[in-house]
Amino acid sequence: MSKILTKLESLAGTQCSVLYSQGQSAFSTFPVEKSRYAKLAYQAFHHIFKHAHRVNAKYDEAHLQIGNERYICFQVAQECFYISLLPPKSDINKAQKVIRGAHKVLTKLHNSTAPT
Amino acid sequence: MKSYKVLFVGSPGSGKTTAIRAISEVDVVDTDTKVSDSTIKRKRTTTVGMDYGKLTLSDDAVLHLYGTPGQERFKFMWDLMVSDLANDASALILLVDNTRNYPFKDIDYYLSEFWDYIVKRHFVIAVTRSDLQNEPTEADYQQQLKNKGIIAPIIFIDARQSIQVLDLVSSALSQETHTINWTEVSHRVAKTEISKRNPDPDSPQFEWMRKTRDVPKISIIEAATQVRGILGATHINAQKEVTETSVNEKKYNDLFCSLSKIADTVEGKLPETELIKSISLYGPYQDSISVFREHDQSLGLITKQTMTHQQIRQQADDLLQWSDNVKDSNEA
Repeated sequence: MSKILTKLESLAGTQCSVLYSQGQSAFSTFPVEKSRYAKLAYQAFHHIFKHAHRVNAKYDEAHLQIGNERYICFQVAQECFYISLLPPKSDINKAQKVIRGAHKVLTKLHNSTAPT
Repeated sequence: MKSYKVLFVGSPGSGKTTAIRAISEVDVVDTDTKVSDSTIKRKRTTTVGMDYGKLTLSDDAVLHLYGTPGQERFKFMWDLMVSDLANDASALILLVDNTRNYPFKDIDYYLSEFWDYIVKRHFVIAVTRSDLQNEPTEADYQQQLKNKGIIAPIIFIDARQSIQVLDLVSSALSQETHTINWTEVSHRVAKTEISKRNPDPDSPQFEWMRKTRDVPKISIIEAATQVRGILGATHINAQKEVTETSVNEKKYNDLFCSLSKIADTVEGKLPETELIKSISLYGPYQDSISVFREHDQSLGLITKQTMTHQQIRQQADDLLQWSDNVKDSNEA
């Protein structure tokens, strides 16, 4: 399944990504040394969306810029977040469009993690 | 005929056009137009294309002066100038406005943007507007460059004074212009300046003697709301309190403060000391929400979905750089 993420990363121009489902990292291409950042980003995005949805429930994409790196998170489903890391000077608009366009694929990945 | 070229870069309002105009012997080809964005906090007009001036150095040598537009949205002109018009320039002069809240951030930004160009040329940092804001000092700038492992001359100048600008240019070209009689050039520039002087002591030419500037008085929030695409703006101080806002709905201001607090919390947990610069929210057909942060203030923006993140970021960066509220934030 991580191959799907790698393909998506190459199209979006992202460095690595992770799909969090039900609070757990379901699929990830984050290297070990970056995994702490990924977990921290997930926790941050969880809180960000909680506060954002009090204003407008339609917000489904959040960005967190830490130093020169940018974490982009798409809320795929209620408890499913797809988080990507963009290296400095990346094309943000391209990444946004590509990942948003992959919503169906990400939903399928999320569904595949659901207990049968 | 030997030609020398110097390229001036720097943030909007740092004095690029003024410096070129101060020493050019021809009327400066400028492309100034009325300000239509956050730059209105600082000046009424801004360069949208490029500046060009010329100065004869001797019978067989001429100096061409090029200035980039300050705003990042005209970055295509930066690329054009470094790859074409000023590709054979001998030096790059970075003008740093000392009255900006975070001038070191400007240095980092321009070093990053022009690094490939700088490494092959003479590089000088010229600090302007230090008559209005004396800190950071020269020692602070030297320490900052030392921390980054960069060796470059730092010269404090008044960009309106021709002799100071000429000294700056001659420093930047000192290793290439051994045959140029800079004293003679300096006399000629001074004579030209005197001949052009308006005898009226209230004229803009004597502004530097009056030590005042005709800077429009406008708040960060007023400036923000004049930017096309920004629908609302809120300034938050270091204590995460709203100091000024154009947003009527409390829920948005609560969200800005919450996002700013989340950023603080995450920063505290990061393995390395890094600043969370921004948090943004997007949704299909929704206005975007962003919070841009510095260590002592934040700016919350509601923007039209048509604005790109780069456009929003540059406006936010300039607004935070020019915010008068930062002093109040620190005192609160």
